[in-house]
Amino acid sequence: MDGIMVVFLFYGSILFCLIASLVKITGFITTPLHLKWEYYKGSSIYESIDWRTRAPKGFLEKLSTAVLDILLLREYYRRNPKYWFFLYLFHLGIYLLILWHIWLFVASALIVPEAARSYGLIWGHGATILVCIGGLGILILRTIDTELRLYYAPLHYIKWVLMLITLAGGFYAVHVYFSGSIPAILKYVRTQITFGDTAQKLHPPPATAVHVLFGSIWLVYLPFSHILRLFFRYYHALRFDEVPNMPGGIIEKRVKKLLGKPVTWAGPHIQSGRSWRETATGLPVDEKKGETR
Amino acid sequence: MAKATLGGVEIEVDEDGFIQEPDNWNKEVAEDLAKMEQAFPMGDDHWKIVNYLRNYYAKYGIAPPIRMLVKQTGIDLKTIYELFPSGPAKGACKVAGLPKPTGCV
Amino acid sequence: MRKKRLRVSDIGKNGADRLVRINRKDLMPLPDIPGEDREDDPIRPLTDRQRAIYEHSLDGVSAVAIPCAKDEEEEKRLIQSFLEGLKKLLSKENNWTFLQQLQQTLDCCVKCQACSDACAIYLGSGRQEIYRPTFRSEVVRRIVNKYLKKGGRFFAKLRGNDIELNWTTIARLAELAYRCTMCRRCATWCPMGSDNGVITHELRKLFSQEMGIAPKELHEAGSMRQLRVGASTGISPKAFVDIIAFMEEEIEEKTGRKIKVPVDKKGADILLIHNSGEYLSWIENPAAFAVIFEEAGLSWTLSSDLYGYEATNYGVWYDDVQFSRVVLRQIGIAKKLGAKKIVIGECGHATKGLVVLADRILADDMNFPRESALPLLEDIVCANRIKLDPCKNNFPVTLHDPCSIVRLMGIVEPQRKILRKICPQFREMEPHGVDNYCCGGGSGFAIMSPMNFSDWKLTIAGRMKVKQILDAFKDVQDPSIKKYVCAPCSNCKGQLRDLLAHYKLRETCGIYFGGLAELIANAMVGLKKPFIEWQ
Repeated sequence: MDGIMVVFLFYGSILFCLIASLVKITGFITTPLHLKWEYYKGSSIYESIDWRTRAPKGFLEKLSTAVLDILLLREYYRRNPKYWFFLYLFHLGIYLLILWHIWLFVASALIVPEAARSYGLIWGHGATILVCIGGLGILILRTIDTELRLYYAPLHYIKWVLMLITLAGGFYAVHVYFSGSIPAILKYVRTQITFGDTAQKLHPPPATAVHVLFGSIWLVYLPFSHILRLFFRYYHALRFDEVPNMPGGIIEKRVKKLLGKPVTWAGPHIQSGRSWRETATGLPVDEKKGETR
Repeated sequence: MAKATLGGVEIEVDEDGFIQEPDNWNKEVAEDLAKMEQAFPMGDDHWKIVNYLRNYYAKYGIAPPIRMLVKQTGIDLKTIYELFPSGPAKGACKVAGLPKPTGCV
Repeated sequence: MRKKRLRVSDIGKNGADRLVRINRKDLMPLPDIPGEDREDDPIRPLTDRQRAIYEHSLDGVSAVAIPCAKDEEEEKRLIQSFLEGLKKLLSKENNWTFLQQLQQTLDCCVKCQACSDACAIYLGSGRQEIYRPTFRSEVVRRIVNKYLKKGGRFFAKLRGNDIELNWTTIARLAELAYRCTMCRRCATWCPMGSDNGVITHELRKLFSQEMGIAPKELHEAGSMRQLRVGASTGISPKAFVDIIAFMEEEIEEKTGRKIKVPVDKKGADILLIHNSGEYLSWIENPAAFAVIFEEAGLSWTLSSDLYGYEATNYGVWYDDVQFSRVVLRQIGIAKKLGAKKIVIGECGHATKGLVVLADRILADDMNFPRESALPLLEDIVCANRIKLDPCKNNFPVTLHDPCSIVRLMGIVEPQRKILRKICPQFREMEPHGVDNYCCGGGSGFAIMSPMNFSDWKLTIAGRMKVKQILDAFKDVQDPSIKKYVCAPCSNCKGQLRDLLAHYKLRETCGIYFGGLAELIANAMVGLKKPFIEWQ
């Protein structure tokens, strides 16, 4: 493949990922404030008399719960330990692998490649092995376990296979093309990011080019996966949403705005065309008696 | 809406057998309804309950509180369930020609 | 595997036949109840006439009484109307109230099926595929992905969106929206924050708000009646006054005390609103509240004004517009009386509706303090504001946790602290608290009994609760020992009453039920007669 194309696709995919994520996140943030509909895993502020005057749970407590849930996948552990095991290995590996790639970029710019230690290799390979075991385990469970197979889209199986191929490609590039030499990789990365060698840029070795392209595919996919949404589970306050709508407060201001939105539901008791405020203040027109739905 | 022949005339009933034309209620209709409710033959206590329900309904537009029914008729709840196996709301009210009780009752 | 597993896409196929036939033997076993292992149909079949006019092709049950579509023309119109409604559910204007939660659930499910084991109905039914919490959600998700998203039809199967949208799908989906009690136990199970309960809720809204399809008990005889006469029970202000007079007689007879129940007292601190069904079916509950509040010397009042004596708000279960209408009227009463806050009696959905859900439709002078009565009762009992003698409650008591109050509001401890203090033989059900199982009467089921639906709710939806209750009293099976299931919620009580009668648990096991306030009143010293009469 033409090197220009690879460059274009790679940097393009980064740009795409950033822009698409931004658009998605903007979409999430601008979704209107919803009615309170939370659930609790224990006692809440509503256990107090005059609960509106009590301070809701602190931000730090919410944050720590969210972080622990996301990092340890605690809920999966509670519900399905077998599945959790592979899921956790996969996630742990992925986090390590992402960090490893970041380290590659940073290290290539900061340290003299020859001075690079071998822990870089152990780190990379270790992470890859974790992801592989996790991913393979998930793929197998998703295939043989009747519950986990249920409703799982065929496309997702392709996704897992693609994931394994991506990993294999990365492993091949590191271990075979660079002969497992971290200094060689760092040198290569440095020339790439500094555009130091135009000839190489235009005619990249297939091993690295293919791996980079696989990376690009994942970057393009990322904004559309559920991963981005997940963080909004907490932002949406599906849980722990104890902040009351106090008179004169910010929530009340937003509510007042929302009540002005038009209602166009066609149900006979609604009389569409007016705002939420007017619709709720009004009463349904008494339908003719005996008239069926 | 379904139709049922009660007391020799055809009367509209809802899916649960409650009559929809209260004006057509009479003793014969009540007895036919009682047959469906395993409350037949109707004795004095049956009628006492039915009449009390009807009077209260005429005055207030609803069936009375169950406690009130028990107290005013002097028939305890256990006996009411013996007289009307589906209970005061679903059984006795149906025989009395009242609409099916609504709300969380 | 006995049968071929039903697939999600089957929902649109074979409209003439029902998707499942349930045999009693398939259900979750109840070994302690004789006859529950029979091989028969636990649900009465519909009559031929009913089968001819109502849709029933989901499971042979009709909860919603949806008229069959007359011809292809009408089917087309209904499909169009459904799609219109679905679009509105996903719009910021028509559904700002729930858009975020809905999108989260549509986007986030990873099909791990962890939630299946959380569902009392799925388990109670012996794991019937159609009652799996994700089944309903998956149908909706696929319809949205395939029919509303751009390019959704391309490679739909490959992308997991294998579904056919036709009238059969819609009719079954409408019934399926009434096979889930929205207890949202599955939502707390979900590692991803998906909420199958919200799918049920939104589906019901779509059918009601767009297509005018809703169970008669919830809409016509429920919220519409409440807006017309003041209460879903049909109690008018005139009837209410008569009932309160009777309640005062009752109190005097039981307690030996002459109490003037405060009604429409201007300037009282607390406006107490009960589910009006309490006055008709369990008047001892509001009576107990009156006795306790008077003894504790609270400044409180009831209202006899139109809308002022009814806490229910069935809109919580199926219609945001009806919900908002009722809320505004209830708040209006409190303002008119000049009360400082509204306190809601023992009713789950009403408490959740008025305290939690309503929080974000109220502004300015309508933004009024509202709370559950349970913390108040806890304060009265645990701070010794009234004199109580636990020995008077020396019988086995277990506690049923109403989902709306416990899991969905986080009011877990007040009721337990009370019971631990005044009931020496209190024992928990397993599981309990926020992990409780629904009674099977949630989301309006307790008051819905059209055609053969009550068979379904008693044999399937309430099955898990029956098992839990029996297990809680395993050590005291003797029917001569009277046992008390405390359920601080009108809906749960209605369902428990029907469950206990259906499985004959009163006769064979001596199991009774009632609210929380009755137990407190029963423990009060110096009363003429025991407050609880075991009827």
